[in-house]
Amino acid sequence: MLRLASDVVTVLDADGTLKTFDSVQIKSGMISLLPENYGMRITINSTYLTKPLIAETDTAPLEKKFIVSGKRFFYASSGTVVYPSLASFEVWQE
Amino acid sequence: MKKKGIFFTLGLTLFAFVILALSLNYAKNSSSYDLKFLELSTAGRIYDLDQSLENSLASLFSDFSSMTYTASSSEAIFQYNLPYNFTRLNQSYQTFRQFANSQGNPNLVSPLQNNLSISVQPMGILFWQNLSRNSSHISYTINPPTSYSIDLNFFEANITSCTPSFSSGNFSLGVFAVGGNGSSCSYNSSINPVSLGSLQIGSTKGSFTLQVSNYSLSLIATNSSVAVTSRVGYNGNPSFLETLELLTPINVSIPGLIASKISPIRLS
Repeated sequence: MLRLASDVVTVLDADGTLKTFDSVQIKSGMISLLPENYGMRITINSTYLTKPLIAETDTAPLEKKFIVSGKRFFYASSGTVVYPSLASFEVWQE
Repeated sequence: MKKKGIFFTLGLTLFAFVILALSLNYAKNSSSYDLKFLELSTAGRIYDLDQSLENSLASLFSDFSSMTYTASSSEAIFQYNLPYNFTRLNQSYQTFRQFANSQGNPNLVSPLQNNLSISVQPMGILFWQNLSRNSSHISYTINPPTSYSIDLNFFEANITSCTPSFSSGNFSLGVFAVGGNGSSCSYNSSINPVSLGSLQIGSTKGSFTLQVSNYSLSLIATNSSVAVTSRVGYNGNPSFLETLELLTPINVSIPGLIASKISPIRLS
């Protein structure tokens, strides 16, 4: 599951979806990459944002369910200004 | 009848011992399985974090360094301007570093060395800059290079003089400089790479010195602004490409877990 979650976030980083800082686009990207019975949440902290951005699938994890988590650094830029960011992710089986 | 009973009892006893042995083995593996699972998932998390940091910093270096660099199995090429403007890269790197080091591990990303050491691995060729001298250098730590080929562009400045001073040998050195109004300076020869030799190029806007000594190359811009393309040739293994590494380490560890990873930043 860690590999699955890591791969999803890697693809969303590589195709620029994370850099949009748009929770709707990120959620859509997650859903298109995740297998059917998995849920996921991505929380982004960035100097570009005033508060953390959360994108998640529609079903929350059940109590006492196994949840895998991880982190990925990335950055967005505008001209010479860099916005470093951290995407923290959690994935679970529904 | 009696014998059948004995054999049956012995068989049952043997069967019970086998079940017991399997149970003990399963219990033993089960506890070591939890430990192995923890080790594997820890290693996985550290690897992911390290890779994401390395990718981000390599990308940042590529976007903000105003340098281009490639390496193959036979040569490495570095393109940049002298004097080198370090400000843009330094500012963006510092911004990223401050953020990354505030996320739990204050030593996650090391400060950027202002000599910008880039290593060609596993060949052991080292490229670095001396910002205070407006100079760049190529040296080696393992195997000496086999050739240098340098292209210089003085932009609008006219090249007014071109004075080589090298001992002859069997090391290939090629220099081609262009300036304003069609001026140029060209030097192509086999030199002695050990004893100190130099090529002095004068222009209407400062001077430029190229030195070779002990297989090391130095390029020094004195009051001049020059675009440089340095090619360093070497005998690499044709089966794989050399990699370029920025010698600024990343120290990845996760609080509460004993594993950690220290690695340079791979640029290519």
